Amino acid sequence: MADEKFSNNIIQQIGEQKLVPRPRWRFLLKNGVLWSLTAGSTVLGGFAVATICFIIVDHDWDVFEYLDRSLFEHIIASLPYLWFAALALLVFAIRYNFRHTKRGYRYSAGMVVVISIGGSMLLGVLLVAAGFDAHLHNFFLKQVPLYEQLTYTKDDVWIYPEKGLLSGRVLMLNNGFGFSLSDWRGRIWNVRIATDTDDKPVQISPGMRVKLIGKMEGPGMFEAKIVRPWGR
Amino acid sequence: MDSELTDQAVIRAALQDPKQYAAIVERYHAPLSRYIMRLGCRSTDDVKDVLQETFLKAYINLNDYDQGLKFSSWLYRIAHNETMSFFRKVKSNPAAIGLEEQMLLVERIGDSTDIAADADRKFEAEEVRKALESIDFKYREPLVLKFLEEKSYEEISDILKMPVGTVATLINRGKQKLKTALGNRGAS
Repeated sequence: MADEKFSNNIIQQIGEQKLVPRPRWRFLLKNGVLWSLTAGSTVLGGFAVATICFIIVDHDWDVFEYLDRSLFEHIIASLPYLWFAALALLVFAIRYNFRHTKRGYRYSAGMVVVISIGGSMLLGVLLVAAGFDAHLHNFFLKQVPLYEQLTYTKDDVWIYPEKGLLSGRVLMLNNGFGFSLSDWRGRIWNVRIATDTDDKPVQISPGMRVKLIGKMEGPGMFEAKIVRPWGR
Repeated sequence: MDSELTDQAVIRAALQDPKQYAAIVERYHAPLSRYIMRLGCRSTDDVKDVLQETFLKAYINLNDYDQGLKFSSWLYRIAHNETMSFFRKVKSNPAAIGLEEQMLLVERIGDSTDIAADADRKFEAEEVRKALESIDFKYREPLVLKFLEEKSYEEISDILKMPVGTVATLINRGKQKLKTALGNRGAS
């Protein structure tokens, strides 16, 4: 009897407050958005992993001596912290969004984190294998403000001619003994290739981007002991 | 409305005609009232208010009900959320559960552990009350759902929105804490 009285009261309240069930599409949309955010975060996580791989593989880990550092200091200075932080944030976003999907609560936080990192790593490795890692890094360099300042890459290493590290674009070859080069700041250099080097010679052509290890001989003069292609 | 109809059938009918929703209210009025009281809502008026909010919220969100879980679990979840909102609103903590239910809870937990054999004595109501009060609410609620509401681990997982493993851990820890609390009180 009490149940009946209470239920009548509820039905009366529904009528008085003109309550109607929210449409199903709203809940489907909410769930769809959460799944999209989860999937989107995983894709961005894949981008982060691919870019981390690119920065680590592309970095010149052997030039620490020219920068007056130990290898340890060079590693600490060179790790892509921005991407590590982004990856951590994305894993958190995946965990949060997945947790709020309809049955996301059934899975433990640890399992979701492991799966999200695994998913990002798998996608990242696929992007690296497909050669998209360099494109991604270059895209971020060009399109994302402050990205260049916040990421320590080879661009930050090969700009110290006084320490023996120079890079830029080859302008013109000089009879096989050297070439002229425009560095990334637009300064022109006459580069002489050292004869007393064991380094495997690299085929140089105008327009090619190169990085040089050697010695600054004077203003605009550089002796290159090692010539390496700039890479991707 | 035919009382033999499944919850799902009643929901379908209620989505067409609000009056059919009365069958759901009548079906769950008593168990949800008990559950809200067991969560620590002691005043009859407060229980009625929370219950009303629960049923109205459930009605508004009927289309959100996931057919993959029991309707009762979904409704208990809303009742849980509304009760917690109530405690936050009135800025009070959940009160202890009723005396008879405290004894029932200890008795049922005792059947599944060695609490009864361990102590080899009857617990005084006051001892049980103090022991239960000493247990954190996060352990008390799974214990209430398991031993008083007699829900399965999967149902508790769906009600409290946590993994089954976490439910099992909370129940085991809760039992241990209760055992320790009763043991300490017995010793003193």
